[in-house]
Amino acid sequence: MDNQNTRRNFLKTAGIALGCLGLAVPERVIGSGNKVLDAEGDTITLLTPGGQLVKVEKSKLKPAELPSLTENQKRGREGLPIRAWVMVIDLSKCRNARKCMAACQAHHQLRPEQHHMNTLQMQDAEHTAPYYMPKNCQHCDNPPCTKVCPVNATFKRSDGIVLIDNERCIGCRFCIAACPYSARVFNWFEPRDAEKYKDVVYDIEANVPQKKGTISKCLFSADLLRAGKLPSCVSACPNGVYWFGDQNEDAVTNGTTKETTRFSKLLKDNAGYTLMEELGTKPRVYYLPPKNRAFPFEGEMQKHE
Amino acid sequence: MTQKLTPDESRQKFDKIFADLTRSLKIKDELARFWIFILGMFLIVGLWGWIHQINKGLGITGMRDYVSWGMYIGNFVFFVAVSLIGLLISSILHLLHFDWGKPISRVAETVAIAAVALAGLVIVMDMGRPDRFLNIFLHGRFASPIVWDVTVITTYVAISTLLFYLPLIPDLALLRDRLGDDVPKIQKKLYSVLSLGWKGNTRQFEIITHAVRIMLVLIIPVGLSIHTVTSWLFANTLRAGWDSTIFGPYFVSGAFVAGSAAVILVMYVYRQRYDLEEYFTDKSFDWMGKMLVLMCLVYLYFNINEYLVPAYKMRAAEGVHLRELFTGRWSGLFWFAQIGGIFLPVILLLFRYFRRPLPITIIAFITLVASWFKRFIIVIPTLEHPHLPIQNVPEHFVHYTPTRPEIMITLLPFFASAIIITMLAKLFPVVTMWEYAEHSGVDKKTMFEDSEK
Amino acid sequence: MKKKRLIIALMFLSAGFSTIYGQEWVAPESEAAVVNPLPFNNATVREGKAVYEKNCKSCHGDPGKNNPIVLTPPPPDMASEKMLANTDGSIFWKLNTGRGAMPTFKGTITDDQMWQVINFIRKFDPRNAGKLTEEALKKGTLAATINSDSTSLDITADFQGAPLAGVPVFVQVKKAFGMLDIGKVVTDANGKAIFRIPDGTAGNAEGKADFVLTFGDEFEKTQAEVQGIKVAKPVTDNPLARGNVLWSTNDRTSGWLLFAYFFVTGLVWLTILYIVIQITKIKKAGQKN
Repeated sequence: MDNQNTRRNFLKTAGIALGCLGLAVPERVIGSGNKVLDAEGDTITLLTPGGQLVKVEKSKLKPAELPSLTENQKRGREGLPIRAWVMVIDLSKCRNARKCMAACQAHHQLRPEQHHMNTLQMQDAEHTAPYYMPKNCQHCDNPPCTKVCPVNATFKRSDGIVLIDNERCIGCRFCIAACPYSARVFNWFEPRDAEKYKDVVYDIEANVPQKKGTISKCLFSADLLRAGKLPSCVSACPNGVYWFGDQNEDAVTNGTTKETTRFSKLLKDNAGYTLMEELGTKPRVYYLPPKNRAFPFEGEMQKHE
Repeated sequence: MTQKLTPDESRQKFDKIFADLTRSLKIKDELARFWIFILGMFLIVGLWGWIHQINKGLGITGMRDYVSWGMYIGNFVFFVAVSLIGLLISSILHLLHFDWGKPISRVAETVAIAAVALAGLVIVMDMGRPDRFLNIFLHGRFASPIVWDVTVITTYVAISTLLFYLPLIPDLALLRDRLGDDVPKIQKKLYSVLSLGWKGNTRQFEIITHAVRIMLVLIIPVGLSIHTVTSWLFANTLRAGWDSTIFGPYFVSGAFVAGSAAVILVMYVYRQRYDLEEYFTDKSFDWMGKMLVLMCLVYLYFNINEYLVPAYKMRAAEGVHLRELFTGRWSGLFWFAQIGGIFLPVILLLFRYFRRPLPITIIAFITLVASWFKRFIIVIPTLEHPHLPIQNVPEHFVHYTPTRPEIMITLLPFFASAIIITMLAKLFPVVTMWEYAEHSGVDKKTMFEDSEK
Repeated sequence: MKKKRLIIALMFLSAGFSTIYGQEWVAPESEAAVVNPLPFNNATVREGKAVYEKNCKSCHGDPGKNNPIVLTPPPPDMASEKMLANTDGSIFWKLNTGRGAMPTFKGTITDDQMWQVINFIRKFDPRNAGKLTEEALKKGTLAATINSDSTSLDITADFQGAPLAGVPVFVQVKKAFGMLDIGKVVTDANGKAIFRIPDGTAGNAEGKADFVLTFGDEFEKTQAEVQGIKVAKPVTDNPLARGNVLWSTNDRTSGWLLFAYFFVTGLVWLTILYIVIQITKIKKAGQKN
């Protein structure tokens, strides 16, 4: 074994390790604060969706005009007209930075162990190369989860998003059992910051505030899409992993570089595929294979029996 | 059996039957009170656990995002399974004219009602939002197997209750007219109301026979569907270990095993406690033993299909699942459930010695416990092996371990069903008196002499 | 696993930062001596900027603004002294090699693109001050109309009435979250150009596209828009809005399912009702006698 080589690898690991440590601290601050970070005197510090901290005078704050709960539930069930959202995840770009996971947990008020977006370490067969795979709800066109819901609480909208109405959900967890992608999480306890948000009107398109005893999962940040913005994971990624767009327009935009390309061409040129297509779930999330990776796989494979 | 009796013999014989079968009602026994007190205590502990769970959330259990169904669902499947015995004994045996099943049919119905009523409760205990239970009726989605399950279980409760009640009406009249002051007034009043002015005339018997016959036929598809639909809660998903086409019959045959074992247990308790050796005879136990063997063999057949076929192929996820069952983390429970629930009764009950009341009861008890663990094994290991790896979550998300409050809540329905069975035995004769008497040669006219006045 | 990594990280912290910070990343001399084959001029710097924004900016931030992403060690600012102390060859080697969080770009971008990026970085080197002629941004006006059969765009570029000849015009289509490049044309002597809309240009669900035309970077930001041009067949059938599917909510669910459910349930409960009626008859039968 080449001595220099081992040392370099070791340094590489160390660099990543230090990187992780550096990342861990601010994330925790942002994650726990969630939008309202600090209020002192006449100003208030807020976290913008872009991740910037801004100070605002309290007097200039005014409540956003939110639709009523019933209005919100109604429009949340209909979906955005003429849209068919798709996501493309480029595995060759993923470095396991986990910015997507952090942004998602902040947006949807999730506990640290709850993941709408989860970066998995994958290895398809014994001798194949391991890689990182961000995995969220696949927003299937033949969704096994909505098929089994006993109360119409989870449903698929005309724009492709599979959503949950947590004012309706009875917490039977049949959808968790039905989902082959383990995309759904449950609020086993009072959700994070339940006390803080107890008076906030429920927003079906972001599924916040979370509710004890109900289901949560990735919603493609439907509230941001309505506002014409990219989902929070997509814009949070520093490595250009995520492409998001409208299949009807045949265009997807990269959340990092903001480059827009043809959806069909991107899949064709990079041999795009869907997860477990043999199950017939017809996902709306596409993957590009992890070839020519920009970042080497740094972790140890976790044993999964 | 049906030799002609003189009116006097007839009267004597009937007096004895009546005295025997109303013993459970008249006994002022401290033991039963103590029994109910103990059960009640455990019940309260369980209820306290449930309230705790409602306040804190389902997180007080060992269930988490991956193993999201635990003992509660296993329990639910178990109770639905046990309730199916009502269908087998009171309907199928009856329609096939297996007369030995007649004295047992009320026991079977009692077990069925207690089990299916509790199954309904268990499923509410598993809900994250029991306060929204009514949503199932207000917003029910007709394509969901849960809605089908709720529908068939409600129907089965109704049919089982009717099947319990219809043959009981003449008995209620007998109790009303012949019981004297041995029971409290209020209880007599209850008999009087429920017996619907029964006089014992031909027209009334015609109505009962007609109604019972319809119910006996109707309960077959409904009973089969309660457990088939319950199996679809699993089989309609894409998970290894559940994704199977034979889950319906597999569950139904397993249900007959569990239910037969439960009935044997209850029969034995009645026999010993209320001195009913003449009614729950050695012969009845012998028959029950033979039936249990038959049911176990059918169940074994489905087990071979269910495990051998995927084990031959060892498809990725199925292979992981089966390895865990056969030799891995779950092998202890798995082999206990398979041996105790199938092989032990099949082998032992082939011998006449083990079909005697006490040995068969002990075997039935083991089989019943094994049946419970079998449901546990069906529900949990599958959930521990989803298609994608479980990562970035705490260790207790990966493997399921039930917590203490969860165990308390799981036991609750057992105590509740024991209370229901005890109460029913204290209120109503455990064998259908008029049917048994008629079968022993007593004339119907003689039976209802008092009622006709 | 994560814990292990954290422990390693902590060990490093306690041992001082000497290891990673002390370890300079130095290119081998032979590599550092390699000379940039591209000329240092406006064109290569401009190309380099585009490459930088697509591949480097997400970590290193904007040169001179010191706004990299949060990483330890932080990705250096491209305009920093330390960065610019590298020779062109040295940067080229580092782009090809990669270290730690800095990936290799070998295979991701071409050698030429790497040299272009290096030129872009060199723009911030004080030693290069004045080497690039500060070009004033050109001015112009763009106008475009769609031809009668919606197959091409007629483009006119002028500056205060005088036609702009030989100027590239870039054509894009507006999409949900950005602009999709579909091509460019160069104006003729009259400042006119015809842009044929390529076959297979995708519109939105209604088959319509909004075109945006711009000059290149050497111009002040100007754009012309041609909106709502029908370029493709509209998507008339949305399978997700169709009825009679098993996964949908009750209002669009399969008819056979509703029929089966209500028919069977109804039948069974009617029978139960019949039995209940029979039971009420028992009382009557008793009274008659």
